[in-house]
Amino acid sequence: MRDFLRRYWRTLTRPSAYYSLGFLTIGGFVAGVLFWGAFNTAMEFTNTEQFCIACHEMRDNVYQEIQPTIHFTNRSGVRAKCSDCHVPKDWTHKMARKMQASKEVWGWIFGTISTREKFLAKRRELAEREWVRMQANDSLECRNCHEFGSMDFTRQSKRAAQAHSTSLQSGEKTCIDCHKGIAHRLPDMAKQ
Amino acid sequence: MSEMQKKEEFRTWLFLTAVLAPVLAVLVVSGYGFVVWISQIIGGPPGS
Repeated sequence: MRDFLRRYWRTLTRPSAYYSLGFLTIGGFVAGVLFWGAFNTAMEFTNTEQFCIACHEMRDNVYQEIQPTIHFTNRSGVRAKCSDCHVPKDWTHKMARKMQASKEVWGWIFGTISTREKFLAKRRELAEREWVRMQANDSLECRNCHEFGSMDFTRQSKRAAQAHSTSLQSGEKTCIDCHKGIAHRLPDMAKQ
Repeated sequence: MSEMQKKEEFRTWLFLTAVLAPVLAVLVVSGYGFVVWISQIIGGPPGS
């Protein structure tokens, strides 16, 4: 074994006697391109709805709830999928979120929310986490689609125009402060 | 000797490009992701 390692270490640290610099460079470059493509394909796959609802925890709870809402069915057919709201677009934060998902894998293995009852018991905590996140980033995931500058207050209800032209405009409030429970049902907010 | 060396050189190249470099790249990226996550646990969510 030591001999084997020493032999390959020597091959590794010395210029190649049989392969041209061209082959090694281009070969490495092509392998790099293939790797990056595969990496991004895999990354995008984990952003698909199909991937999210492969687990019954998502399919039977939150996915059922979003379907009748305007973010899933509406007159124009433009709709949000899970990752549009729950995965940051920025690369660094996206990678952090993907690693954070290891906790979800943990929860899936140990059945943390494996039944409806367990999910309902935990939902307040899960929802609060998303609310805190969106309050901190000024509802970035809402604003990826909804642009404040393009809002026509005259086409909004009186109450909405009133709120948007004051609290939202001044930055005192952000989308999620008022729009909680719009894509999934609200948790039971009564108990602490 | 020379056939043997040629084989070893090819195997070394293949191991580097197909195994070691991809594994290291994934480890570096996931390690970076974990560091950012941990910093978010300590310092609060981004933007706060």
